[in-house]
Amino acid sequence: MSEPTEYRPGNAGDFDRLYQAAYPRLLRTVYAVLGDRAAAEDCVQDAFVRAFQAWPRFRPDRPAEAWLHQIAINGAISYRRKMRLRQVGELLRRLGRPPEEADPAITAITGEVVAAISRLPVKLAATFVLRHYHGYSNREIAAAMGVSERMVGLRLAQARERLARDLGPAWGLPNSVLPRVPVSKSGDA
Amino acid sequence: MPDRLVTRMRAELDAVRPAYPRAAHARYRRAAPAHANARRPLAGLVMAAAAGGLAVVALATLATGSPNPQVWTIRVAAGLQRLQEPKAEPTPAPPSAEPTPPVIGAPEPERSPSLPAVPPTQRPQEKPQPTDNGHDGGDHGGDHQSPRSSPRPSDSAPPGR
Repeated sequence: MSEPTEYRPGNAGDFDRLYQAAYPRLLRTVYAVLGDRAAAEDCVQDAFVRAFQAWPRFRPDRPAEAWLHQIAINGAISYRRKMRLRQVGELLRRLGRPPEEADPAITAITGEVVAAISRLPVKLAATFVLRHYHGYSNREIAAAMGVSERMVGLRLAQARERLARDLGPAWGLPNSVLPRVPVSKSGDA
Repeated sequence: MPDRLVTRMRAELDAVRPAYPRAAHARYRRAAPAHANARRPLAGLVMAAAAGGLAVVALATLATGSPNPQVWTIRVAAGLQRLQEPKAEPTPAPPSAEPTPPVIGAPEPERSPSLPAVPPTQRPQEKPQPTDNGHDGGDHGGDHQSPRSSPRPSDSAPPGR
């Protein structure tokens, strides 16, 4: 991850440049995490709103895109939590009724791999995408997500193992080669 | 990590092509910027001052019955004058500090309660009292007895002794 441009905190023009440079990458990250294009666009726009409010306090020594990723991933975690609560509410309302068919426009995900990633817990999915799509180092991921490098390694291993189980042996390594990593129930380790 | 999985993931994510992000259409442009939040306290002060001014005008109009500020000024000046009048009264008081001796037989003028009352013992100066207390026996009511200055019959020796 390279940060060729320097941004001046509080400068609106610089923030516009940052928006244009980082928006597509952020959208792809959040889309892989949530598996929903519309929700991803909504989360990323909200992340930019929060970032713009905090822009005067931005520390230039920190990579701007990693900072934005942290805000966007936190927003995705909140979104996923809200959706889970909503699903529980709908489930309670629909008790005893025949199940409705899911809207294909909402559930359709272009690819099988991204669909599997979006089924991972948010922190595992985000770590996986930052490492293997954006090419962040473990140290950069640790700085962006506010965890230790060791935790990043653990999350990557957990994500790999879950993806291999979800997608089947055709996509992953054989189970005997996969590292033995304790998988937490919530997956938000 | 098998390359196939990563390659496929990259292909799937690269297929997500957002429209060119125009900052002018971004949500943060429509949301309140941070420096606008700093203006809020100032706007609140201005609003509070305006509300205070309106309240003062309304109170003055109600109190004076006129919306004319000149009338308010006159009323205020009159009120201040009224307040200053009681302060001016004590200035003639010092001459009254030396009470003029009352004229005997003349009706005693009414004294204002603020002025120090002259002790009653000073009034009948023309009637000096005797200092002979031996016969009083501590009876303070002896003042009202009549004229002790006049010799009692027992004190006066009979002309015959």
